[in-house]
Amino acid sequence: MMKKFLAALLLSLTITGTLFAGDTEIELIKPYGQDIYLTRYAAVVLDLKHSAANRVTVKVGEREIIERRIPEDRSFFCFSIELVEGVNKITVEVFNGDNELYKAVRTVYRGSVIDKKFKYSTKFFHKQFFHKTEKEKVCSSCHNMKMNEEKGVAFENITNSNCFNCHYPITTDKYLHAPAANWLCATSCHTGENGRFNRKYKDESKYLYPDPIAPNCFSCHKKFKKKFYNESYRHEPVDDGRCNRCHDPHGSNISNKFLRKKVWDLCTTCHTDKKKRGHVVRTFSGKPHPTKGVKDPTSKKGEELSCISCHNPHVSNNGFMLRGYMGRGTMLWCKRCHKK
Amino acid sequence: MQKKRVTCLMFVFLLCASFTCALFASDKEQNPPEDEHVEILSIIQPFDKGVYEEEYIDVSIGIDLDRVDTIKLFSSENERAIIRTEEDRDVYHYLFRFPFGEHSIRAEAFKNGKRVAVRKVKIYRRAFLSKYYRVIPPGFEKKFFHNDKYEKKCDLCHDMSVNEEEGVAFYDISESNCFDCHQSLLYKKFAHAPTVNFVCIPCHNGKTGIKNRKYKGRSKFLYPDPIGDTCFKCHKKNHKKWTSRKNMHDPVGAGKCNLCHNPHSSDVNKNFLRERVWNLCTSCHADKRSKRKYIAIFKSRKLGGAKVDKMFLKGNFVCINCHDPHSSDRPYLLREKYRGIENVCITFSEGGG
Repeated sequence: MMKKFLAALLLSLTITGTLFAGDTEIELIKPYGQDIYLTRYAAVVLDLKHSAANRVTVKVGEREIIERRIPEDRSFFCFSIELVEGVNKITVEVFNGDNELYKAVRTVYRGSVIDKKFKYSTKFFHKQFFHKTEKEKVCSSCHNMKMNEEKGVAFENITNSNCFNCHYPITTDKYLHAPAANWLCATSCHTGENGRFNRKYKDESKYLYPDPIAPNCFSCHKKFKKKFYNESYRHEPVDDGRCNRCHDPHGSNISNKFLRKKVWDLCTTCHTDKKKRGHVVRTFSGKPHPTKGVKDPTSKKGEELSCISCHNPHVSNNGFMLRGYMGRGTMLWCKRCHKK
Repeated sequence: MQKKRVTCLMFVFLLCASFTCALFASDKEQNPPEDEHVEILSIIQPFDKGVYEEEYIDVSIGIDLDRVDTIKLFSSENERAIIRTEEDRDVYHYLFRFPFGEHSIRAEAFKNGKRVAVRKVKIYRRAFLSKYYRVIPPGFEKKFFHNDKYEKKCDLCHDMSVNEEEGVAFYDISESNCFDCHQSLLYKKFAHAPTVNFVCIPCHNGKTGIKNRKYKGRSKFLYPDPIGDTCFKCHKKNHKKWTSRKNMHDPVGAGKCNLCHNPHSSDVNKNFLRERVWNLCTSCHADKRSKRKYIAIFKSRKLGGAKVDKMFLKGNFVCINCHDPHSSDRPYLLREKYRGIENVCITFSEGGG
């Protein structure tokens, strides 16, 4: 009888012990691990549970360590880190002085929208969404998780937007798309609807964007809608409505058209055969026609020659997506630059 | 002498009268109804400068029976046909087969061994895949027959109405009103069930999709482009399977099933592919056409290499042996069954694709 009682007592003690221990332990909420990011920045969210932590270090892959000081009396601590394309091993360590209180290792994958090398992740990684009512509860003590925008009305001060607090790294780019710069996220693109390509993620997140995104783009860029579907030939992504293949809808450091890469690099990520093999014509001297690195004779601003000097990247009425009138003989086309 | 003069005058007068009569008549017939006016020779179908997609093209020729007794047809592909006219029939058909590209058809009408009329049309057979034949040369455009304007011409012999019920196959397909003119769709080895049964309306429902909106109202039997959603009405299982996976081949996601599959019939295989697998894939993925791909495979024989080698030497090694053409959970759309294949190929690096 006594033995049984003792055993029960011991068991209960151990259970309560583990429970309490679990309560006081620091927890890394985000990144979840094994998930896929498509943006450059990822958030690190720590649940400190009022412990005495005052310093946190993050190491992404082999890059240098990021160190942040934690202000006193914080129950949660969050900041953003930059990811590289491909697999990112994130090591988060929390210190009190020199004491290590907590250490966690999570691997995430930063996918690329166009780059073949990073377009496909392995089965290990899968898309995880944060903006669901249950998951949002964690952050609701500090952040207002409600959407506070009106359609077509820009904020006077963008920091008023509830999205700004967590997603501000998006605005660090040089060129910004108007809806992103004004933080009109949910009313313009992230409507929570799903399209043909992401139907399987239906109801996974409040702020999904419909993929293909084109109908949303065309709601502002009306001129293009008319133009794109009236001409004979469309570039495959235009045809599919995937504007976000080449254009980053938030912003870009490279061009004011928000391209993901420089024009020549962007085109050759898919058209790899144009990278090494000579394009257009190979002359008797053995030199192929240049596709970059020289001045564009047709450009008025004196831009560098690239794929889009001859080809229209969106739509065209001529074969091979050539700009302007091609006519019957392709040789006529050469006259655009070779006038003699 | 006097009599002769009178007859002469009479003759001149008659001539004048007939002339004036003819002139008046031609003035009156400024807007003649088209049906009554019979041309000596006319090519009803195909339209001049029209764009066609199927391999077999039906040439319909209308003649004036009184003035023609033999028709000769020539195609730019050195095919020729001689048709002897029958009694009480003024429209004749002949089937020509064309490869991709620009072609011409010449029709000549003969009466008693003497050529009386020549008509010529130019057509363009467009390819869905091939980069060079996807481009329609200037001057050519898509023209549609099935609207009220043209259907009248065939009304006399053919019933131009739709006589199929949804989901009900014909006992005898020749009962279908579509069969008479479009039976050439069945001349290939493998055919899609709706085509075999001549249940055309489920696809050719006259609606337009986002990609062919500009043709709206031009034909009664347009199909919505992209066709994907129409296909998935029957192929529900495939839709579920493909969309649940992580990575999708671009045309699958965009619903362009008809880019690779011919929805009617095909000579290639039972999946109605437009070309043989390797040719089909490399028509878009042109960078894979070089031999480098295979050379790279031989580099590591340990894991999957030996297996691939065996297949390759047999000569039946194609793209879809390793890659799933529709969708996959694994990178590069690789198939589930070849576990070690990513260690075999080293072409994942730049340039090699």
